[in-house]
Amino acid sequence: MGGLLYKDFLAVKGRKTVIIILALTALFLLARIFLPGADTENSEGFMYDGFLWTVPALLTVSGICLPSLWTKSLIACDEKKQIQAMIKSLPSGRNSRIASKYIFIAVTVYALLSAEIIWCKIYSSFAGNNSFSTLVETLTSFLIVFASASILIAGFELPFFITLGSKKATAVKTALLECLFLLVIAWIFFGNLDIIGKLDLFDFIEWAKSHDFEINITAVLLPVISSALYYLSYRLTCRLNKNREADYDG
Amino acid sequence: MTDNKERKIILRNLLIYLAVTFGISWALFFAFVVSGKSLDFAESEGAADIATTLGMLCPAIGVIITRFITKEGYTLTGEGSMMLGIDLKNRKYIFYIIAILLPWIYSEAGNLLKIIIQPACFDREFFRLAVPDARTAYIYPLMGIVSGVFFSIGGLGEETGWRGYMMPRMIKLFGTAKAVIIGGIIWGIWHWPLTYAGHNFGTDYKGYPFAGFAAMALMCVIDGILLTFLTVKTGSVWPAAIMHAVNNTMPSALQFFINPEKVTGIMTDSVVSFLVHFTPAAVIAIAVLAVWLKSERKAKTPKKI
Repeated sequence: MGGLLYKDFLAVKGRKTVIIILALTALFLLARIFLPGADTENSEGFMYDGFLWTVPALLTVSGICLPSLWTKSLIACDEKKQIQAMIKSLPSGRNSRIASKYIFIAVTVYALLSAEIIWCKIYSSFAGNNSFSTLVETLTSFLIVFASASILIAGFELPFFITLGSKKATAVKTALLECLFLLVIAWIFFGNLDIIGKLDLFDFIEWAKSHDFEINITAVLLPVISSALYYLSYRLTCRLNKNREADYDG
Repeated sequence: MTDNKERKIILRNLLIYLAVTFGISWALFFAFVVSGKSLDFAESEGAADIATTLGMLCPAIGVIITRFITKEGYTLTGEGSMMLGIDLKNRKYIFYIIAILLPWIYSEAGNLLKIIIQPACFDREFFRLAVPDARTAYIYPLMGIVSGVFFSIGGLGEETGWRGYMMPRMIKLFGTAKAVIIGGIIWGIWHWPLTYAGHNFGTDYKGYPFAGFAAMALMCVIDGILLTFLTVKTGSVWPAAIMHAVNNTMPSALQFFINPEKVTGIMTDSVVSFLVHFTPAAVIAIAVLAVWLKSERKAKTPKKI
């Protein structure tokens, strides 16, 4: 299993990604130390807070998308003949190849979640007591929800990619995303756009504060439910690929 | 126990690990102490949060540097590895369930003990003021468990070092009983700059900072027994990392029913209150150690034919 996971790590250029994330974390820490926040508006610190809160927010958004972006590379790598020969030579059990994909994505989500929480803590430690801090606090309370979403997306994608292969699955994924895009375009043309005008992050924070219990219960239940669905997705993929996986047995 | 040459190598590697880990962690902690920021969560949540989060990652960094110096390699599973694999077979999943639930059990028991000692501090209405939505208090232990499991990176950072590197070598050098005590004290000493800066107990207690130092060392010996037991039984640092992280969230619903304003006498001392709170954990740890040592002795005794 270790060999399969390391192969997946190399397939997605994991070493490069880890170095980039570590370097960005160090840079962010230095930026936060030298650009501390302030409580009051119209001060330099408040401006720094206003600029720097976007960093953990951007990492969180990338964190949701990254596992999904890596799915194609993970499966495409296994389709190469020399990689298939390498997998067969590894002393791994039945369904190990499928399990390695699921474990790899789960480890990725855990690692990204850990990086996100560290970034949020770095931000909050040197931030002023202002609206941006509240924004990052709200973001932090939603991190588990985002991670669960990531797991759910992966649990939906992996059966397609493993069963259909990277080319066909990418075509299906692109078609689905295009449908979604067309729906958004249709909504822009014919829908009620007033909703966008009414969107306000700070209103959202107020809403989050008044729905503390609902958010917390979601944060408790969603990871449990998404983990269970992720496991079911793994079992389904194993069943769908029963005959093919016999060829990979080491 | 191992032969002399092997013992010397293990001791050398262990000393390198301790020097590296204490060096980088204490440099970080002292930077915070010198900056004048309090590490008491009640006074300066931000500074306390970042100092402890970064500090918790230092033992893992210590392991990476030590393994580079000693050329021990970075294997994830097996003998002499970083113990980062997860194996649920042979009923090992039970230890993961224990890791998740045990901090909850001893936290509730600790708070119950506080209420038994001082019934006046039990206040049914206090939790309505302590949490914005009263219902949150009831699901708080579950929130602690879930966030402990998912945000276990800090716990993993410490456990990779203390339980994944230090304790297996300590056990080889000194045997289980001595190792958990010496290892626990070392782990406690590592916390001392944080304790000095007000982390865990604040600074307003009788015998500051030495009473805090002693209490920290004692807590680390007790927690160390449970964490080492889980690591040895599963061959992985993950259960210890999860238990450590869940323990740090203090997953107790009863805490919302204890009104600090109604706490009087000796129980107002943070160290005393902490020791009372930690008594159930100590009882469990001693029982676990007794059973563990007994099973070790049984395994060593040659079977009669």
